[in-house]
Amino acid sequence: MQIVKNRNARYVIFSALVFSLIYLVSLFVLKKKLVTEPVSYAAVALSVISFGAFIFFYIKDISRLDEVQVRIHMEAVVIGFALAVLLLMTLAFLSYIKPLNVKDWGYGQVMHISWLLYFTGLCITKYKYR
Amino acid sequence: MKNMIKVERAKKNWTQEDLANAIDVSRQSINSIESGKFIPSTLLALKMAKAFKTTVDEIFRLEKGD
Repeated sequence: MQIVKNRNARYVIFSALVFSLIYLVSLFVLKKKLVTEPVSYAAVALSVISFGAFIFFYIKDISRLDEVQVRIHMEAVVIGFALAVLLLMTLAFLSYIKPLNVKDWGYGQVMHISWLLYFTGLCITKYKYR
Repeated sequence: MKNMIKVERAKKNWTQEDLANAIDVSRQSINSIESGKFIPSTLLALKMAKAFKTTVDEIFRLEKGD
């Protein structure tokens, strides 16, 4: 049982590292427009696939946790999702008042903030069930 | 709901870690259940009862208002 848990944890870490690497390289080449359009689409597809693989292993790993730990992750997702929707709603309203600076509030920035919101949720629920 | 986990642990001289290892959950889970922050599933309650060699209703008791 412990061997299976460790193996799953290793898959999560490995897939997270692979995704991070592909994401950073894709971000760099897409931002700097270093490649042709078809290669750019391939970079996007690679990022999406590697992220999908990471999420697959992450969910698989969570399902092997005990019920309190599963609850912690579930509540973290709920908090993170609610905060992300709140952020998007606020940004949407603000954009009607005055167009937002895309460099500060683009999809990329909002995605990074969404991760931060998930980890905020995780800290809150870990504290709650500590 | 009231639980007697701490009492049962004391009878066996077990730490939370010992109980966690006996029923294959994390120590944090035992702490959450023991402090009443989390109500365990029937399966986990049964595993706990088996580990303590007692019954579920000896460990978990309903209180007035439950």
